[in-house]
Amino acid sequence: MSPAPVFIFSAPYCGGSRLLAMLGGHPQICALPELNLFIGDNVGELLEIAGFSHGLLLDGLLRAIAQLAHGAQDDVSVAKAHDWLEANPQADAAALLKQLQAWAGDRLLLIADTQSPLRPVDLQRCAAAAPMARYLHLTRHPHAQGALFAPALKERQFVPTDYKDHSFKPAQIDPQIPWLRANHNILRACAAHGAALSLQLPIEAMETDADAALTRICQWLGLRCGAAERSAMRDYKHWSYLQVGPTLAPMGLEAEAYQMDDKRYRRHAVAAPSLAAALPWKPDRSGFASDVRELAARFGYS
Amino acid sequence: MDPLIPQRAGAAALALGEADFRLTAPSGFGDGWNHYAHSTAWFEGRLYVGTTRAQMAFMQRTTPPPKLVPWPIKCPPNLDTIERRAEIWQYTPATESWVRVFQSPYIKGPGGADVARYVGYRGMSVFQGSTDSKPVLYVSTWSPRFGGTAQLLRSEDGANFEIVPRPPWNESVRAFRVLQPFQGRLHTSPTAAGVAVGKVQDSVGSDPTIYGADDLRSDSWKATSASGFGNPGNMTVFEMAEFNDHLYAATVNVKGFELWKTRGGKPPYQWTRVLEQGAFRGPFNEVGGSLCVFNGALYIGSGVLNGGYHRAAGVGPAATELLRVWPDDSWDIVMGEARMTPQGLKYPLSGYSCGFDNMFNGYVWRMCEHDGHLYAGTFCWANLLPYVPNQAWPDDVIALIKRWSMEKLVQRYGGFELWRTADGVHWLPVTRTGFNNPYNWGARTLTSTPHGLFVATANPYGPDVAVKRDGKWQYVPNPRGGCEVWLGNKAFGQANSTPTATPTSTPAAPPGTALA
Repeated sequence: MSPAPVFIFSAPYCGGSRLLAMLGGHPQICALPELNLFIGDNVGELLEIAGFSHGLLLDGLLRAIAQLAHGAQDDVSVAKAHDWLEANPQADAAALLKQLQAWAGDRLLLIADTQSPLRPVDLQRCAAAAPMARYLHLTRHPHAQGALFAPALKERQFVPTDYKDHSFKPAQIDPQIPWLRANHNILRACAAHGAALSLQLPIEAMETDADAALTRICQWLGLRCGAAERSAMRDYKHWSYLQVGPTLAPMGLEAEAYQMDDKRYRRHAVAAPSLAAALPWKPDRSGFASDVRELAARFGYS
Repeated sequence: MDPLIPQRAGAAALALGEADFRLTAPSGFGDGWNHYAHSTAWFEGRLYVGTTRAQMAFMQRTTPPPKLVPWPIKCPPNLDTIERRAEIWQYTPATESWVRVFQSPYIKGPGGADVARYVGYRGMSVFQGSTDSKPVLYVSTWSPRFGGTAQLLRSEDGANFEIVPRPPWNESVRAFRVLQPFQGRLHTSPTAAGVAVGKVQDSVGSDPTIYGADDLRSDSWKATSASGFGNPGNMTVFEMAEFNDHLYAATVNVKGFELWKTRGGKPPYQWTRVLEQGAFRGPFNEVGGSLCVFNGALYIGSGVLNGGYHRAAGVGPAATELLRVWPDDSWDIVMGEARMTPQGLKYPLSGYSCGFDNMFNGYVWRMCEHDGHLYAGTFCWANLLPYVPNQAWPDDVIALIKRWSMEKLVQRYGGFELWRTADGVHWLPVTRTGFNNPYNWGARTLTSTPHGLFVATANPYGPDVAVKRDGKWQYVPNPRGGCEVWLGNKAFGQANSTPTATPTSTPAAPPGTALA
């Protein structure tokens, strides 16, 4: 049985998928996509919510079960995974995590989550389901996050109301809103969970010195981090969940994961942003809200 | 110790879920024309419920009427042929029994016909005025067009009700609702006005002034505020609450409600504006509809009149928000839309967007603190969808219907929602289906008592509801039509519980898969 899981919590488009993919190469880690375990009280509610929602909420969970239980991410395995969920409607997040850990064996479960940070009650469910879990709070400069996220949102047919500034009529996409909201909620969750179980890390550390950043994470997790492990982690593109999945469960990660090779993405990801800059996605070209600037400064951004 | 009052455990263990509620009064107290359990009060160990009758029939006569085809309930051509005399019911916990203790008298209308004096009781309060020997029950009334102006009723024993002087408003006032004690005075303001046929506005009064009186048996009413606080846009003072040694009042304003507060003193009071423009959401926060103090903040449920779509003003449809204000006038969006405001970027702390993520929740209609939790009940109009011509549906509703079908949509969203929180941020649903009755479109009153939390509903789908059978509409008796009163108590849930699988037990392994 592996130890308690580790969650990578971040606002959307803060690099969680990339970090997850890299850590997924570590032989002692079993990295899983976004499972959305905490949107309901049990599997029955997860299935109901997924059935009524626009997105592909359970793709990550289905692919994870298919991979771990049946050894493949194909439609046959995903269908079996779905049947299994339907057969266990009363199972709650704690039970699911316990099962996933059982399948993962000795490997450490590592799970990305950019949705729970938007809703405090989901983080509360996470804490209840996994009281000894460790939280890795991943941050990104809000200007870089917005520059990546805003164009991606504009290309979507459906943009959640959570990502818009409703002081405009019609409401306008504004990535600083989920950035502020998610980071506030993660900070509160980490404070409630205990400092010893939390680590805050800027994704920019991966750009400046990936080896140092990965070593720091591994040390925090108590894992080996020799040359072989670092090499395996740098070769992150082979992580299976980074590829589009089968027809029945094609996704499973936030959209950022599928854009990391895009040139525009790379340009924004490595740009030198500023908290004082006008925001290109804002119709009035205004700057960040004061609360965003203050929290970003607290994270060390300027 | 009252043996009927259950022993209390820690507050966290006392959070109520759907299984903890029992139906104590079904089907409009046995009369489907009792549409709204409009007001409640806990008085001398008993619950009192004031009904409003035939609300759905009344709505058919408003101008402009809602575009519903067919009309959801069977209504006679003449509204006055319905028995509309409003009732007051009393619940005794010791016997778990209800008894009607009062029914509106008749008065003579045009041509000598009998007309109900009161068609509803929209407010109740237990208050001890300066000449009251003890706290007594006060009730605000709703009068029909030929019923005279609204009156204030007083009862010392919960059985006999007398008329006492009302504030000095004019004869056009049809109803008033809120009865708010503060500094030894009871405060109120008109809620409905109009005398012409079809022109009665059920949620807009003609005199947006707050009146206060300390002796309700004599004519001591005085204006405590300027009309509309000096803003002609404030059409009505809709709700009041005492918070942080101040009296707070929320208005109706098509540009967005305003919230005002005062330290009181000698009337007229000095008032200060706390919120404007519906907390900068504008018309979609047309009314500050419910107020409740919880954990050091004042919570405000917003909405648009007439169930989220104020047709006469062209506002809506829009779903409700939940806000909170602190003693220093700073404020938060608890549930609703993120936006830039003059006070900075605000986002919904709970993570829920408008209507608790349900576009059909037009108001947070009532809130109440009970056993360390705040409960918020909504008004939900999803069950009207089958009667709304499809050309009138919003685009997002059309998309939902295409995706799920009307039947599933109503099944999923029909009925009010009741939510609870222990801290104001983490919210969980108690019911999202009107306690499994889609005809319960609103949690109209919530009352915390030593015996549990009473939830009294608005349910205008009786006595006969329109249903589609074999492709044709027909009216059939509706056994779930008419207001209901539910009582929530953890002891009920424990008594009802049956052995089930342990939630945290490991689920069965997939076929052919060995557990590690």
